[in-house]
Amino acid sequence: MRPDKYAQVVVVGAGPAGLLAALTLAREGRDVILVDRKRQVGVPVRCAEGVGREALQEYVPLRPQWISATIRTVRLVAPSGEYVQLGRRMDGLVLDRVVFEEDLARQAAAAGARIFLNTYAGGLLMGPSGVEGLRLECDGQHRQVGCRLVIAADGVESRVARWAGIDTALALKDVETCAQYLLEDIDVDETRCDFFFGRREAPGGYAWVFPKGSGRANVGLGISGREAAGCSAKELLDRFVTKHYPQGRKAHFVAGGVPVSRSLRKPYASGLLVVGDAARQANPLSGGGIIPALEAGRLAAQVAHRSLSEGDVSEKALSRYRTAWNRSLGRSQNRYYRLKETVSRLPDRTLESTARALQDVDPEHLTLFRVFATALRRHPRLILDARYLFLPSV
Amino acid sequence: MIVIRDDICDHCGTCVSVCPRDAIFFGCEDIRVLEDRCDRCRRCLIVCPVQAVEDAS
Repeated sequence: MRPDKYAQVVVVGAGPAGLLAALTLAREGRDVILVDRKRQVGVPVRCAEGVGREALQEYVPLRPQWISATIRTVRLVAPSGEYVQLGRRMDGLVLDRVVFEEDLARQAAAAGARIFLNTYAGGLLMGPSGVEGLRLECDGQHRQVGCRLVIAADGVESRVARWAGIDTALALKDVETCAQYLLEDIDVDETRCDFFFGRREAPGGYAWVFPKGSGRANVGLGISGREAAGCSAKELLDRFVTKHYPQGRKAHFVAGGVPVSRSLRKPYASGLLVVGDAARQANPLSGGGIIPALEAGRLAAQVAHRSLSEGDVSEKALSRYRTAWNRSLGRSQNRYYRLKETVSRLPDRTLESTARALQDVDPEHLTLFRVFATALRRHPRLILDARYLFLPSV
Repeated sequence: MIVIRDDICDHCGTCVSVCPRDAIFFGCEDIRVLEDRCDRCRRCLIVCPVQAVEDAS
């Protein structure tokens, strides 16, 4: 069957990774189609929306309308209520991701990208030399799009890469199952993000409170898939909200999974690049995925552009994307992965004694690394695992 | 058989991310388990954040 449409590149998924890839390629003059199964870009937002200002500005000029709150300090709260405070003059942001992503989509469209929403990717068209297009479905209509290259930015479910033979299935220990409310009418410090740890409240994960301005906050909770049998993130979140914000109004609910895995060993195939959550590139310790997604989207677009210019989108040509990813964030992500494996086994009493040990330290001098280093000193058996943190990653 | 309750499901795709058999069809409007592919490992049921996945056998 002949394709109905043609583009040089088709990007599947209009999250941060897919949007930045499409925008970058369109600005290079590439003929790009971006598809997403959502009816509106960015909706629903399955994300706590936290990001560093400086890091974000590496990728896109910041616009004030994207910002819900500016974060100066972070608290890590132990089950006893004791906490460690990090920083006083941080420069973090809680984004309004809907506005942010709509803006990126508008910029991509202005640069020439064709964007199709409410459009579902149903399979890859494979030829003798790899990926040659996509099957799409929109309102019951089936279409085919031919292309030289597909960029899979389809999020945690990561189905597109599977169709090309890449095993993307996450182990239970490598996924956080999460739920989040947008709470309104609550009393929160609008310059502070809180993380609540504890084996009973959030086994193998944490609860978070990220202010959104005007007495609102993203209040969510994630637990390790390994600990999720017999309970659910939503149940635990409801318990957390009842305990901490009984007066809060639940304005909106989202569920979601966050990959806390090593990134895909091979995030490419002939005619295919895999980016963002789909390539398991989120930070495995924090679950933060916006910056890794933007980095991967940009790197993939650069490699795609160069490979198209050279007329070679073979596996070998596209493997430059993996090299670039490993050089930029891949290696440190692997170190974070090892730290996650260790920290997820810390007992509650270690978190509490850590909070006490650090309570007189100036928050300005505290880093996440120092907090966990202290925790590990208090739980010496884990130092054996922590040694891997200091070995170069493969 | 494993079933996904559409009245509870939030269409977040977490179940799809852990399925080792690619046995969950995730279409425009519907999401369901393909019985002939499913080997009933129950990972989808364990990770669902809202308990929309049930073992109906």
